[in-house]
Amino acid sequence: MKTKIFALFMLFPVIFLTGCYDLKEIDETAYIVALGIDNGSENNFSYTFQFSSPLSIMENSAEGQPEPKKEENSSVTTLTIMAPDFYIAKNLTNNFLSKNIDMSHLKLIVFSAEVDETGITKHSQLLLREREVRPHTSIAISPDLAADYLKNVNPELESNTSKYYELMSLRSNNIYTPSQKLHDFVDSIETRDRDTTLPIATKGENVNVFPKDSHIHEWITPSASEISAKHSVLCGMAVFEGGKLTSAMDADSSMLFNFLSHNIENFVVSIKDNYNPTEALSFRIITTRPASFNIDLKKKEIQVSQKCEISFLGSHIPKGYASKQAISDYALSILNMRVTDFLTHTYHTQTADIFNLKDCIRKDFFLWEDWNTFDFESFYKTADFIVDIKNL
Amino acid sequence: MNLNPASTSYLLHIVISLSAYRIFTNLPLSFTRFFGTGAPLFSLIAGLLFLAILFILTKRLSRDDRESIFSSAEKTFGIFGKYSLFILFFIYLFVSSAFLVSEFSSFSKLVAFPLSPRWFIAIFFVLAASIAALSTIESLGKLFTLFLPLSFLIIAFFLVTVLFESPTENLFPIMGTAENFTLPNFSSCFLVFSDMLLIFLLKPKSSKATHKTIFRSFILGFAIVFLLILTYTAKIPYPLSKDESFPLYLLVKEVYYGRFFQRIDAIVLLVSAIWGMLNLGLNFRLLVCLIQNMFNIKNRFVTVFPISASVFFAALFLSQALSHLSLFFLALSSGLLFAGLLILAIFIKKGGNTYNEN
Repeated sequence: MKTKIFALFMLFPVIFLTGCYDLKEIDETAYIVALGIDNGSENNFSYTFQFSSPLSIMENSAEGQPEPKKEENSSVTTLTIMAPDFYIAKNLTNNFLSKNIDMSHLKLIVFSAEVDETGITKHSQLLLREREVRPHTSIAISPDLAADYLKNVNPELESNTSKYYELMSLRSNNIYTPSQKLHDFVDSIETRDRDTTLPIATKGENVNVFPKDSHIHEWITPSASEISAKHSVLCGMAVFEGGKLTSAMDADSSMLFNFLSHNIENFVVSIKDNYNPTEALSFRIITTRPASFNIDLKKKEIQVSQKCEISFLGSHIPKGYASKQAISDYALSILNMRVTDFLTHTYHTQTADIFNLKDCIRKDFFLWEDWNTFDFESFYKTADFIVDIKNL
Repeated sequence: MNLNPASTSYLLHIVISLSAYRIFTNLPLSFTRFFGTGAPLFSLIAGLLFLAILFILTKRLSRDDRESIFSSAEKTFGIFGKYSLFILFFIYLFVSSAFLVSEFSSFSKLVAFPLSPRWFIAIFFVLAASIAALSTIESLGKLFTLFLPLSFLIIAFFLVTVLFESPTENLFPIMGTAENFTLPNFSSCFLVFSDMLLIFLLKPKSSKATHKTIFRSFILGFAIVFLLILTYTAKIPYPLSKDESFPLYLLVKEVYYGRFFQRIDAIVLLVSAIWGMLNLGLNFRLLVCLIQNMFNIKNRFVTVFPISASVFFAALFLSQALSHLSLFFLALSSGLLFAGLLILAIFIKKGGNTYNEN
């Protein structure tokens, strides 16, 4: 019996282990919810820390007190510090903040497009290695200043800015921009043989900053749209090749990227009516899995296959079509053409492997040495895309 | 030094723990460092090979129920054999305990106590193990039975969920950097399982059922090691994966079950602390038993304090001043113990009625 008591007593240190050092008082802590990184003067960076103001969030969300929307976002406090290094900037905030800074609620990191390859790589790596920062933190790039984007964020229908960032970046219904997690981004740029994408964080009036007209004239793009009332949006995608920002794609291309990657489960497209080009036909497209890519090295072909459910969103069958099936077939043919056009442009013109097609043939190799010497880039630059989108 | 024959069911949990607890350390990373994307395949080969070696050693060394491994060594090589084996076991247990304290305190610091000094966390592990050393192996076996299945399931669940979200392309090329395959590299990977050599101290019964229990539990323990290596290789792409540390911690950070279920670090801290304390407790208990049996000391209290203090300071040296040599010491001590057991298994004399438990 004595020995059993000894054995049980040995578990007591586990209880005491949790309560001594490293205590953190919640009201003595300032939580960073977003971080912006811009180029500063000389060799410095400009860091914008956005802190959550929990008391303001509580006031805003109190029931029975509907308040008119303010011009400024009162649920956060934004500070910008110029410093040669992230940790110096973080330390400097302690010169005027009484609270301890904590990054465990960091939801969004925004880089300015001006920050070079080394700056982006260095910062994203060190942030991922920070114990408090979660690998699922979202990451975006701004064509303007990251500080401007963060200062302009004023969530609609949401009093908690931290929750707004989380929902905006990780939810699956933002069809015009890809979502990217810090961990996946660092993996891609550190391994160097991968290209990757980031969502573009910009002001509402700048959504057309990267317009690209589709070569398929039946396809209706959202490029002519405007979101003038909103201060900040996530729209379009930036392409990174080997850790370097090389190009940007518009909202329409981002939608097709999301469609093939299965980042979104359903979306609506509009196509010009074949028999009456002044009219548009709308279709809901539902996908259940990412597209499959088969690479034929001998034939120099990349076969892309995606299964989806296309349903016509109209109350009656338009003139010229025999049945709903005929309309769906027409939509399918246009979608096939548009996806082929998108892939050809991405792989032949922009030469970016954003779908990581190189990984599809990894299993054909046995040794890392052989894999490293394989030159996939010269293959995909000239390979033909055979797109096969099927209606389930 | 014997487990009570009635308590062989505890053996199952003890052996699982011995073969699997090093998932909380940096040791599984050696597969990735040497073989890159081939880590899962080579870990599978290493596991099967170790199982075969274990089978042969168990078959040879535990035929007689009444005989401890030290009596067999004495019968085969005389008093020199007995004390040599005692020294080899003592050194291995000491180094393994110091390594365990060093790695588990680093793991806990990484997961939850970034500002705490490492010695402070190590104190809790040594304190728990010192108390455990005053109990019996059977009582410890009961604690293993109580906590291990749940801990095992929790870790396995986390790993499986992370694995399902990982891109399988990262597992290819399947042979990885097989050109790095050399005997020293491959044998250093066996360190993940080296604590299994301690089952010869526990002197399992020679019955078929006991042997089956050992092999089944080793396979279960190995399964979680393999799952960790597989998930790690799939989740963290090579060559990034070879420069990281504490693979389980990195994978646990990846657990994300939606907005409300994430940051499960607290659960993992609890599981790792209990698992680490139980294993360290077992090591301390075995060290106390060794010293008691060899020097015929009746009072176990006398032996516990010097062991705890020396392991504590050795762990601090290993984690700070000698951090680059900790693996070397572990490899050396386990290599010598393995060689000792192998020589004994080859030359062991069977039969006879002499029975000297001491």
